[in-house]
Amino acid sequence: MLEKKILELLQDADPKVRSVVLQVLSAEQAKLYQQKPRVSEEIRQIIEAEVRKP
Amino acid sequence: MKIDNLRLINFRQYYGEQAIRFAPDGPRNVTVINGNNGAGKTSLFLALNWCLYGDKAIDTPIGELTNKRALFEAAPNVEVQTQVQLRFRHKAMRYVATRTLVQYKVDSSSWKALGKSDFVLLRVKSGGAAEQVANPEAVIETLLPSNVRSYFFFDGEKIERFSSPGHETDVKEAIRNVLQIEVLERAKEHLDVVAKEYQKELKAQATGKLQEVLVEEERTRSTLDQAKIKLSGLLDEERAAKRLLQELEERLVDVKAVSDSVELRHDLEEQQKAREAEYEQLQIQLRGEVSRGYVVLAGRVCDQAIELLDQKRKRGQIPSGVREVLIRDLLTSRQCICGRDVAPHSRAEAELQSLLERAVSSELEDFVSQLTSSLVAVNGQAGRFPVDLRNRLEACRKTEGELERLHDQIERISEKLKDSPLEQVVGLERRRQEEAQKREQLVGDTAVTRDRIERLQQELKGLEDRRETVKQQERKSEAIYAKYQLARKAADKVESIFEDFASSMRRAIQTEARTIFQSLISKATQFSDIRLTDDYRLEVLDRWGYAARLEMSAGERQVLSLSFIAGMAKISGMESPLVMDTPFGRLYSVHRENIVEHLPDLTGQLALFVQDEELHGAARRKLEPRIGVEYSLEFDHATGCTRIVEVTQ
Repeated sequence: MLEKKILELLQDADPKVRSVVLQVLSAEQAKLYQQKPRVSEEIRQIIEAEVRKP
Repeated sequence: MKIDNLRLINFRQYYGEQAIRFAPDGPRNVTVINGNNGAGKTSLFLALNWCLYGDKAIDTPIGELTNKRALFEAAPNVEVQTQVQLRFRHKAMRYVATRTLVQYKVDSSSWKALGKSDFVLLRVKSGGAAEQVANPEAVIETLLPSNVRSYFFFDGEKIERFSSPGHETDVKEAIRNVLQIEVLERAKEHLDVVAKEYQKELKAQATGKLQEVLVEEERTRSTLDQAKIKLSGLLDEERAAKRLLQELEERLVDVKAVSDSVELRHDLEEQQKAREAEYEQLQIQLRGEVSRGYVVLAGRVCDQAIELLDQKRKRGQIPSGVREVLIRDLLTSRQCICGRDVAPHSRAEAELQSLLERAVSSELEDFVSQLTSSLVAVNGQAGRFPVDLRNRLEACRKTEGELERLHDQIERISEKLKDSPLEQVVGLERRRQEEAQKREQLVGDTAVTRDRIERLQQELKGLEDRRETVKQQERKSEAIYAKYQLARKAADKVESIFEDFASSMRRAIQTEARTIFQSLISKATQFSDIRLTDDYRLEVLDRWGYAARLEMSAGERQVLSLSFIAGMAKISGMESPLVMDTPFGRLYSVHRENIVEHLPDLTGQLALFVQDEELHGAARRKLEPRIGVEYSLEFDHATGCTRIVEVTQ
């Protein structure tokens, strides 16, 4: 239900933005319960990979 | 998560190895565990929590977890193992979670734990082979997060807090946790950080204009963020003032001597609101009407144009005659309108061809005809305009009069209350007026801040456009710019979906909880509906639609809270059994019967830890067909230990 709603809200987004948002949410979800998550570096990697895509 | 089995070894009052099998998902999905006070129901709760979430998740010191009899029987310095093992399934995967604590007896009266407990999680593959899961605590957190567990494993008598006044934070926190709203908040926060990092890199690379735009944009964005924080604070204050006003109003209604006046004033205020909305609508219509005023000025010109067209037609300058389309139809059908055939190369065909050359172009004739009817229509409007305008103005004046009358009546009642001989009324009314003024001020400040936010957003949009233009001139920074732009857009997108997500989920929980509440609450009660307000207050409405939470009994609050929890669990889609300790203690028999009838349908697995007197009579009979497994906790006073005994049906 939650994932479905998020996908619905992202429907009109630019495909690259949608892809970044979904990957970042998934990374945040995985690191939610860690004490000091290092998410920024992972987000940079997600963005850089997305920018490189044609 | 679906629990298959719970195995205990020397845990609290459970001596040796004992186990409980849980009823699986299906028509008989209820597990009942009967036990009197002190028999070990709470220890089973503790066992579930300790096994999955560890030493920090329980209030009991770990030294107290080992069965005393086992320690007593052990020789000094010999290890005694305490273990809780949970077998469960999650989305077609099977797991075995085992938490073990080792203690040893120092002497006849003391013992010591060997470090912290040890946790192992195995994933069981088909065929029975198992592999150990790395980072087991993190995996458990993703299956059933620790901050959510208390909404699935809970003490029935303590859940009423969700519906007690002043516990909005608990409700908000529960929704935040179960819906994992924190994930969205953190995504926005971290994307902002990354966007700022890219912006810094870009500034270092960029020169001249782009740098200026970026600095300006950063400053505007920061001002905008501050304005948003201010708006959120103002909205909170405004809601609190609104609540206080409602409370003061309710307290005034409770004073019998003035209750009629206060209710009348409330009605008048409602009428005033409706009239104001009507007045706004009329103003919009009036503006539309006035913008049509040109038709009056156009009237003379239209008359002249119609006359001119008429003269031209009379003079033959606008030809009227046989229409081109008719002759073409006759030539195609090869038949005249009198029925004669029109054979190829015949005289009749030659006559039609000659007529076709002289025929009037249908386009020109259509245009002239449309123009004439449009001019006539404009003229007609010009005639109606003063009448329509007069009617609208009259309606506005009438509504203004009604608004003035309502305002005077409300003022008179307020003055009367302020001059009341009852000190309590004077005090309450004065406070009400002060609060109303304060709220008005807050509403004003909120509007100003909203306006400022809107202007800043426009400014930001302008800067973004400028940045886009300047950026095209500075190709060198393109690579960093692309990353910055993507991070920025992603952060903005997360922010924009955040509000929509939170509010649509809140509405979904409200709808679900309402359905559940209506199935659980006694039909005889005066409470008929519930509402989850936008500031996360769980409200119950009486049959007249008024908020009535203060009047609920502890049992009714328990029903309300249970509806909220079950609704929230359903909307979240989180798979977990519902495990309830002492679920029916405070409930009146009808609520108890409703709950046992409906609760098994609201969850995949239901486990009830009940005292003997909690489940009897009609409630017991209603639950009977849903019970899959039943146990009795038999406490032995001689040994201080409990035996888990399966009750055969």
